[in-house]
Amino acid sequence: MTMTPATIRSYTPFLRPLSKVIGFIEGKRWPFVFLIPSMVIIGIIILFPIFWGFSLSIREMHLTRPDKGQDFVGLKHFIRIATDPLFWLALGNTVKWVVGAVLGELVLGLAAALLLNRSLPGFKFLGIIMLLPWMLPNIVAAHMWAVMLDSRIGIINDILVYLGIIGQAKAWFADPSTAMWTALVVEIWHGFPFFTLLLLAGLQGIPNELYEAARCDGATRRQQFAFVTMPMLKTMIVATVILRVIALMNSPDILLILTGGGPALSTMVLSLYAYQEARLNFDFGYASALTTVMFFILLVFSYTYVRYSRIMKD
Amino acid sequence: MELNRRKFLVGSSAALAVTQFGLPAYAAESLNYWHHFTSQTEIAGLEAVIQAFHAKYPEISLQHETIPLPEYLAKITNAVIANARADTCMIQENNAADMLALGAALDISDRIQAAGFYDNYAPKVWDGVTRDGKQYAVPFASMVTQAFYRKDRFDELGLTPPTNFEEFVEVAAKLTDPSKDQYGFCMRGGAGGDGFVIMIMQAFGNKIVEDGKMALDKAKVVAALDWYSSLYTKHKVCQPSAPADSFGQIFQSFKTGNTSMIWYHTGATKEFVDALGRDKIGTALVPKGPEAHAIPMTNLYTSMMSDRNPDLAWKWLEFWATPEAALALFNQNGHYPANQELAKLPEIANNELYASAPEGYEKGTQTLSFPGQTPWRMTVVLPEFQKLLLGLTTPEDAADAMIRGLESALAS
Repeated sequence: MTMTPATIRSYTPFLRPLSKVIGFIEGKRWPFVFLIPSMVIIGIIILFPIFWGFSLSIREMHLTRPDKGQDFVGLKHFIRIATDPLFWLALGNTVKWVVGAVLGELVLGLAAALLLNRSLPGFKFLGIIMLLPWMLPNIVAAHMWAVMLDSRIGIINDILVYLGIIGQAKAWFADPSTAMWTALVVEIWHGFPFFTLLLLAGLQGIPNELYEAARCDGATRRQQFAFVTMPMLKTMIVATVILRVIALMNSPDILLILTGGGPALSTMVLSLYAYQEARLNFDFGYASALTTVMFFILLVFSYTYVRYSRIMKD
Repeated sequence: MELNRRKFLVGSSAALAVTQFGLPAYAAESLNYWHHFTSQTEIAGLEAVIQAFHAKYPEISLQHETIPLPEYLAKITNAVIANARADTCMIQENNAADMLALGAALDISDRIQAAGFYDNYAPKVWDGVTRDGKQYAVPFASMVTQAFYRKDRFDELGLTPPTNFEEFVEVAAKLTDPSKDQYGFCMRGGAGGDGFVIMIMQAFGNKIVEDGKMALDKAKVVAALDWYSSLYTKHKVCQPSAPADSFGQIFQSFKTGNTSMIWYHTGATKEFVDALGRDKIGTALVPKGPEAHAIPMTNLYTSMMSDRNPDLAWKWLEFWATPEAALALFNQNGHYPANQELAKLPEIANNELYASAPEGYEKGTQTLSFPGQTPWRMTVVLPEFQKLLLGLTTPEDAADAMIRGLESALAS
């Protein structure tokens, strides 16, 4: 005889709890039990730190001012952000920094990936060489470039003067009109291999038959690139751009080393501002509010970008 | 000999018994020390001090850990919050307010009084680490700012070190020759340059903060900013990279002959002499301003951070007040002792490069020390001064921004 909840109930009342368990096991909700360990891990590793960060943004948390307490302050920090001129300046600089770096890295990375996507002798070695900048830690890359660009001992100034491109050595980071652009050159040099690596993987996943079919239809190389390569790379490009935007927006290290946000705040970006508020001013409440704003900016950007790039539809 | 399981077990048990009961274990007492010495000469100086300490206390094992200055306060804060303190740590005077507010140093007043060296230091040296009459650290070095100059270039041009701001501009102009990439004065306009902006404000008669309240006088701030920025914008006697130059760049600039005068504290003496040779370096007091002789002086202290082993930690703190420690640090690094009895040691007192140090120590203006001063200096004073150098603001607007920023920093 099959043991069903009904039969158990009919035997004896004290087995009723067991009948509920069996009913649950046989029900549709049972598979969700298996998700509990994953949910717990996600909760501890991902959600808890995020919500902890959010909770700091609505509390007073100024470590060097214990007299201020750690009370709930509601939207106080967010109201301060709205009227903080440094926030708006840093937001504008962040847009320049992220857009400039992503565009530069994408173009250079795509060009390098297309170049490496050929079976020519020495290209595997060339591929490794091209990845070297990405392998350098940001701090090392930034210090290295800071020395190379120095107006007194930097080799880049020497080369540019020797080639007659500039008349005399220039202090690139001392001038607000060149500081951001120079930092962007360093960032693009450091970050383009990320695009190269992933776009190369994408290129190698495009079936050769598509190109053969396009050639049969009389497509030129440019048309093959526009109508085969780019559409097939679209998902990869969208994914890499999102990942890179998130990384660039959140990490202040290259600018921290090269310019420290100067001169005259011309390279102050949001991540650097939040870093300074947390690590120099020890105002973790305000720094958390800044990072919360950054989080929502990234969330809105990612959602809009994915939605309008239509990759989910494709 | 064949080693079977029985022999192995017997041997192991015997060895274990010997280590547990048979031989006295080496019971070295250990201490750790956090600091922000980073340059080669500083590390060499610290290691010489530790070596001298080990010679006196061989039973104490001391481990030191370098934490770069920009990260130092963050590390200390994290350690206090997480209750993972070091036994002892270094305090630089301009971090003292924040560190004491955090509770990062313990009250050691009784030990200091009992040690009997309190009166060997100027009262202003103690002020940096004294709260409500209690002392929280032992001073060991006074970083007295002095003017370093290229003696060879001064001799070549028949110049003498300037004693006031007017002479300073004249001398700097004579030392400047852009066609040879030579400039009179090495200005620090990048990170850390805010300290010199404050020095100039003080030289023009500003008090900065008095009784916890903003004490800047706008007219005097404007005059100070105008004079200091004009060295770069009008007189053009500074290196072109000044708005971005920090510690590393200004040292490089002075060492390579790009500039001929630099203001820095006594702790840089050894490094300049090592790089250029004794005969090319001269020192003097920084020039006097129109209203005051502002000579920045920042003291370094050692504090007890944890009460895990206070007697042991005190031995290390007290050691810093001995001639062995002072000479070890001075010989390797050139730090001028905060203890005035130790500054009279012949090795220090007879060194010509330190001839102006006693006067600098006596007249030295105390480092700003109030919670919130770091963000004011870094996010207001320095960027506003950089804007001035770059012609993006006026002295009046920069002064307004600095005054507003200071009021806000003191109120928050």
